Parts: sequence; structure tokens; C-alpha cells
Amino acid sequence: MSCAPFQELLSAALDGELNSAEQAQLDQHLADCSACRSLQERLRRLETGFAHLPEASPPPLRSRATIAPAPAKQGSAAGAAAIWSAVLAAAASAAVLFWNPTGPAPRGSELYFSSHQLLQQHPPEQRLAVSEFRSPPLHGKVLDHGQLAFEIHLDSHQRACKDLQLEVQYDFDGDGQVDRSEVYEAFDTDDKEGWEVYTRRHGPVSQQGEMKDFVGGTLACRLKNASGYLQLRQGNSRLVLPYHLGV
Amino acid sequence: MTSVVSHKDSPTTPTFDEIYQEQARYVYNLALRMAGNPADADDIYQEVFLRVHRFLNTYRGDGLKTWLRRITVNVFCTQIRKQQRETPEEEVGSELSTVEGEPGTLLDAQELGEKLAAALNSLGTVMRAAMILRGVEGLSYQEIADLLEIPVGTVRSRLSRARLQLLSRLAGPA
Ligand SMILES: [Zn+2]
Repeated sequence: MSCAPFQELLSAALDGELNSAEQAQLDQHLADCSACRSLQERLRRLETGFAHLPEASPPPLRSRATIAPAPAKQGSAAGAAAIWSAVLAAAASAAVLFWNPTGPAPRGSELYFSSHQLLQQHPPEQRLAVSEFRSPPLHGKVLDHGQLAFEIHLDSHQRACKDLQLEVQYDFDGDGQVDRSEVYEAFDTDDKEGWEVYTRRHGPVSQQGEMKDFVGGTLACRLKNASGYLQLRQGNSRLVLPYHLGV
Repeated sequence: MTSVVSHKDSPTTPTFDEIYQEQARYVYNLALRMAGNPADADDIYQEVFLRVHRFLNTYRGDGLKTWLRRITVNVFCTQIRKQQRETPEEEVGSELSTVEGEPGTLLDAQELGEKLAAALNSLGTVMRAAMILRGVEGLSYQEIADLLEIPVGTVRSRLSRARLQLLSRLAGPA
């Protein structure tokens, strides 16, 4: 009798994936076949090797710059480091989760940032009235007729936070001067636990300065509200800049 | 350092940095073992953490390893489809010779692990991935079938063939 069909049964038995009829068939064969008993032994030994595969150290993440948020007036910003990662590729459709699902995906280069629990962990008197993120140095050409898009994940827990506004400041040449600024329409968070998403539905409500190419400049995102404190946490957020960013 | 996993009952989502610090090694080694080479593993690993960053808000706290494994396998599958360079799973004609082979000298565990790693690289891509998901990750055939999008029967036959090939590699000349 050929042993071939029993080899698959031996393998599946090792994984606990045989039904009782197959198990009985296999047991009967093993009783008569020393070659398959030997194979069973070797398969068992092979199995122990998986727990001892060599491990490699992971390489660093590419395109990932960790920077500190704008300094708080008081207290330390420790633990509130913002993460930016510039993805030097066109905004891909695969990532479209919260962008207007019926509209075209925004064109440009994606920037991600995150500041979990930026505000939660500070006592109320130290909460920031403005939450600011600054990008690493950027280089790239502005796209014709492009528009900035954003998706900012926010949660203000059980207290609504009214009239949040995103202000985006461009410093195209890195001289520290704001060359262009845009302010977007206000957003209110709700009073329930769970994330909400602030996205751009219309163009900026106000803007100053012209769009230009980035030559080593930076972009700052400021989230602010008129009434003072932002008592909320901010999750992974992103912008699509209407730029073809390069290195 | 506290474990991210232990936070799963709290409403707080683990931060990207926590996940990265605690799980980068796991993700990279899973990617490396499935891909079989450092260059592809690095591509998978980079993409996994971009997706983690993007989709962290959709993580519902139901097992970080499971979530990361799913992302890693998805990226892996996307990569092999894109590259279309899965080597056809060659027919194995060596079952009988492996059955006849002698058990060989007993290797110590570390030596066995190193030889096994090399032998795994001789397997076809999907066969190797299935073998890693079973041997290292301990998944059921159904779970492997779901992740790799292949029938359960195929998982079973490929694992059997993979093991026979591994045994014959390990028994053969180094
Ligand atoms: Zn037999």
C-alpha cells in the first residue's frame, strides 16, 4: 500500500486538523508501517525548529521624522511628540477612508501626524489652547489647481468642543516667516466617547499670501478654538498637500 | 515597560509609538520569514507601519498581534500579487526518499532553527507563508486559508508538501 496519502494525514495530524475517521485510518496504517512511524518522528522534531528560528533586528522606519509639538506655555510636552511622516508619492486611492467618498481623491503628497493624548495627560490649567504641528523640511512643486485636504481625528470625550478651526501656515523657504496662511471652516466635536473626523468640506474661509513651491520650508498646522482650551485628544491625522514633494 | 496588550480593556487606543516600540520586531520577523529575503521584508514592514499609522483609529482593541498579523499578511499578499513572481509550486517527487531517509544526527535547537530558516527559503512563496503561519504563528487551517485567500484543502496539502521538502532539505547535504 502506498504511503503517499498518509504523509498528508501525518502532517494534518500534527496540526490537530484530522477528523476522527481520518485519525483512525492513520492509526491503523501507523501500526503496520515503520516508515511512516519514522516520518512521524521526524516531522515532530522538525516542528520544534519553528520555535528556534533566528530573529533579525528591524530596520528603522523610512521617511519618519519625530518632532516635538510647539512648546506648551507651561509644563513639559514629554510624551506628546508628534509624528510626521512624509510620503513622497501621489495620494493613493487605497487610503481613502474618510475623504468625501463620492468625490475624487485629493491629489498631492500625504503627510501624517499624530499626537495621542496630547492634552489628556496635562492637568486642566496646562492644557494647550493651540495644538501645533510643524512638518520636517519640505521641497517640492505646487500642483496647478490643487487644494489642500485634511483629515484630523479628534475626540473630546464627554464634553463637546465647539468651533475648532484648523489654520495652516506655510513657510516656503524656511526663513521663519509665514508666507501663506489658510483658515478652514469650524468644526464641533460631540459629547460622546469615540473619534470624530474633521475634514475639509469647502475651501478655506480665509487665506493670505500666494501658493509657491517649497524650497526647504515647513508647514505648520494649528488647531485652535476661540474659547481657549482644547480638551481633546487627537489621533492619526493626515494632510494631502497639493504639491509634488521630493527629497 | 508596560505592555500595549494589557491596555486592551481600557478605552485608550495604544499610541503609534507604543505599538512601534513593542511590535516592530514581531512585524519585521514575520515579514522576513514570509517574504524570505530582507529587501521584500523591509518593504512589507515599512508599509505595515504606514498602515498602522493611518488606520490606528479603526483598531478596536481585539488583539494587537492579530491585527498586526492581518495587516502584515495583507501587505505580503498584495506584494506577491503585484510582483507576480510567485514561483510555481513545483511538484514534489521526493516523498518516498524522505520517508526512507535516516533521522540523521540530532541537531541542537538553535542549529535546527538556523537550518530550518535556510530550508524555508527553498519553498515556494505561498507554501512558505502557509508554513510560517502554521509553524510560527500557530494558526488553524481555516485561519490560514482566510488570510491567504486559498481553500482549506490547499492549505492542508501545501503544508504537507512543505514539511516533506523541509525534511529532505535538512537531511540532504548542507
Ligand atoms: Zn506508510
